[in-house]
Amino acid sequence: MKLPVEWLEEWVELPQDFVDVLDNLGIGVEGYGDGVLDLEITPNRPDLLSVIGIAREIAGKTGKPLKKNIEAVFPVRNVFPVEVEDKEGCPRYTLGLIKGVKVGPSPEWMARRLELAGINPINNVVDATNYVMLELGQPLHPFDREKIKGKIVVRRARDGEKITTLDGVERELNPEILVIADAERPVALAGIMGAEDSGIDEETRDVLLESAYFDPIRVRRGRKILNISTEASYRFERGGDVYVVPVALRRALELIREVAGGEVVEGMEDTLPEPEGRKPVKISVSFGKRLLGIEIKDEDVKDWLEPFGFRVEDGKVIPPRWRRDIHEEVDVWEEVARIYGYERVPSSVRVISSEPVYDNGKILRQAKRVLSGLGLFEVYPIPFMNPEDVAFLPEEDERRKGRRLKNPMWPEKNVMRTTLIPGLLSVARYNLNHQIRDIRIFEAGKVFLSEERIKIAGLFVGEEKKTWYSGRKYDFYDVKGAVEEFLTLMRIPFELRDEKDPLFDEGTCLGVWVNERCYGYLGEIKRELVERYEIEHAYGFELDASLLELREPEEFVPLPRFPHIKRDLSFLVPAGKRCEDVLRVIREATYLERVEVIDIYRGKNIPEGYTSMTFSCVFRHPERTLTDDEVEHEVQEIIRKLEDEGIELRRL
Amino acid sequence: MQDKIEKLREKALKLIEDVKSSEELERARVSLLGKKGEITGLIRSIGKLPPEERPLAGKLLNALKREVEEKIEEKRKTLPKVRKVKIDTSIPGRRPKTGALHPLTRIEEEIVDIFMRMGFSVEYGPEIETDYYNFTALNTPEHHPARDLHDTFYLEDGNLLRTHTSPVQIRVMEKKKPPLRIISPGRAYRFDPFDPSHSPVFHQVEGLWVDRDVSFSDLKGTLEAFGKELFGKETRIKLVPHYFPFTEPSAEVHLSCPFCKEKGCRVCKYTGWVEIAGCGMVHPEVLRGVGIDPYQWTGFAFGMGVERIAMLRYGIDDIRNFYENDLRFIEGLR
Repeated sequence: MKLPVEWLEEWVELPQDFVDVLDNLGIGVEGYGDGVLDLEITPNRPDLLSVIGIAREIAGKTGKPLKKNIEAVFPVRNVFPVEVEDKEGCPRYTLGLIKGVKVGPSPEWMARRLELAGINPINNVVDATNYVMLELGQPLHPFDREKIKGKIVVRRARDGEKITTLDGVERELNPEILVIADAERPVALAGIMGAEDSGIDEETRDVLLESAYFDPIRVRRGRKILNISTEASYRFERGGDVYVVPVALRRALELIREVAGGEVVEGMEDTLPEPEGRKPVKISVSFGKRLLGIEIKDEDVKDWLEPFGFRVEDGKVIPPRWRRDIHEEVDVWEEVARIYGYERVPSSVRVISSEPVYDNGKILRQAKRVLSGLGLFEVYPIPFMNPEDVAFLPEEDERRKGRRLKNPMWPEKNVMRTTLIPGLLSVARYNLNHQIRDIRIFEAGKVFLSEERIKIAGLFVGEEKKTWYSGRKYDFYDVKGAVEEFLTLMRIPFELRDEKDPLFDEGTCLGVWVNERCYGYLGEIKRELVERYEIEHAYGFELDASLLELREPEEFVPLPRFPHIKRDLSFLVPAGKRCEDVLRVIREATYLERVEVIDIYRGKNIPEGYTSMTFSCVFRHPERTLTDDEVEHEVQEIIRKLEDEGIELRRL
Repeated sequence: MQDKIEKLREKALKLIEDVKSSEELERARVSLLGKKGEITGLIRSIGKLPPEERPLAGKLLNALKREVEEKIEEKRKTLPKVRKVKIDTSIPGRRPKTGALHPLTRIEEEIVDIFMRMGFSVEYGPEIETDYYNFTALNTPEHHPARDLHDTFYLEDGNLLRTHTSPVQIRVMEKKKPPLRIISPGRAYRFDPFDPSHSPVFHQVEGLWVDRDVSFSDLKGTLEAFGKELFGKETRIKLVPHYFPFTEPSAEVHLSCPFCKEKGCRVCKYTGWVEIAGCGMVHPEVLRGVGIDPYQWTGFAFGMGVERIAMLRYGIDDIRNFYENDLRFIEGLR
């Protein structure tokens, strides 16, 4: 809210540090320049959307009274017929009359203040109502009496009823919307905006002026349906002040007379001449002390609150009529804390918890650290997905049916992601666009299927940075190795099996199995998807994070006490046989401790259609030193078994 | 066989004796003890001897092998030290490949760790929420004007993307009885287009402490301790009155600007202070809603922006950096 300082000064003496005073009261000063304050008013304090509201706060804090006050009202008498059909929507309606005004431009002082406050001057009558709204916080609406047929009725709109509002827009109404009507038609949207054909123009002579209290929810609902927001609706939906309604009416009528001439009818219609007083709130000082952690003496509450318009007596607090936000005890204590000053509240630190501290996300955090240690960069793509990215998946695949956004930020990204892979591809694309070719990335985050699930996914695209010792293009074995190492470091007893998953290229896809359940896949990402990001090859994995819970406990394995014997064996593996066929046989050998594939070779000296694979086998007996003969026996056994399968030892 | 061994011994010792350089010594070693060396050859041939001769031959050969090995070592000590081939130490080393955690993960971890040290446990909640948990249970019923401050993403199925991490407060209090001391890091969403200070996706860390007599003073002290741990001892915290429907009293948490130390700079818009969180005492309406008596139990809650804190910590001036995922950005901050 913009507020000219000279206007405020008309109401209250400003201390030197009034900007800090306002800040400390929770009235955020967002800007202050050219004599205009820009204030952030929180939705609970509609009373502060006015000069008098801000002035009251400053007066309360400095202890100096307001320089002026406006309280006078007109007596109730018949001015013009008013009927309120919807009493809930409009608990109080007042209407006054001024005759013989001369509509024209406002005087300079009024126009300028309005402009500084961010409101365009229109004509002296309308401007006077806006002026009073800014001054007292009560929105008002003037009608041209000539244009009102017979009476004023406050009622719900009828289905299909139409109104052309002051902004020139024709709007169709429904019974959710509260309107002001005359005998024939709606003449204003209650608390929101008037109709074009009932408003003030050059010809207007007599002005019916409305000042009312409308139900905040009703106003909000109406303006939401119609999708408009005005200075009036902004105030009404935050809650008006039922008591100030007639005060503002009289003040505005008198101001109109001042700036537009005419004769005010000394009286008003009022549907609620005697509103109920504010209900007292019971308080207990011991609770206040407990809640705020400050020392409070019984008399402090009175001393602190009364300058702000509260009345405090016998453990009861009666809030001022304009404070709609004070209903229960805690509201009072907030007020006490605010007036006392948050800056004066002492700081207390208690760090011992009575309960053991836990974090179920610890394993995931560790997993992220392991992956980054394996050379991958963690990324945070936006979790919205283009459904076209997964349109190639088979009909029954649940990843095809992302949960749809009603109001997507980007029209094409209108579902919540069901897989992390497209997000990683988009990150790869972004980096390729920025001349980064070595892309090793991962994400641990949620996908949104019928339930939210945490996935861990990674991607290799491009090639290693070129140096004198590196520069390879990434391939299938990079992603496979990364997953193997990751799961090993996480102590998860996994097994990789040839598998099919539609997100991955057939034939280069492995399933990650733990305890006879598949937790995800790795391999080359399917061409249909990768091409959408103009990437040639991408190797990735996507695992369900629940597999982290299957980790094995850390266990001390006694170090071997006896030496091992190592044998390197090369085999000619014909097409149709796989590395695994050899490994399987080697692993059957007694005393075998481990086996590594140390060389894979095709080409010179190797017959067409064969691959030479060299295995380094380590044998060890746990309780004694193995003899060469024993190992030799095992080696011969391996060679014999493989020969049976058509895999020959490569003799050098 | 014995003769053969004796002859070989003499030959071997002479060979070693005559050696003049390390290179010659290595050649001699290989010719005797290498894979195809003479001694190695003899050892291999033991198997071909008649069984009764094998033990003696084995013993002698082993003794010979040991003796030759010793002699070689002795000789090696008498020879001038060989200078190794000089290497070019200026060639860059072979660097292992390393990755990095995203800065938001790292800051979030730091925040979580600080609060865990203060006795807070960590809870998590769903990102797709119901209107009830995101608003209503947090004392923000339909048609509450405070809803205007949250531009919400809605799903076609009627749910929404949580606009803050505060729904976790409700979910935890529904499940567990006080005393409760929890934090909850996580992602939240608001319909704010990308600009230097807004992102439709962002992260928060929610905090909640409910106990017999948790006070506003505890809230202030806890946040102050947090600020000092994260940004250094001289850091100050200021609570400024504010409004949130689900806390009362409510406050904004302002941190003394870590860049200019309150002198005023571009980052703090020359105010000396930066806003990092919202907080307050849990509103009685919220407690009642989950069946907790607000006169028996009091509590505080806060929600802080992880991006905001990361930006202050690293001096980042554009929130979009976190979501563009330029690897140079992530690498540069590790």
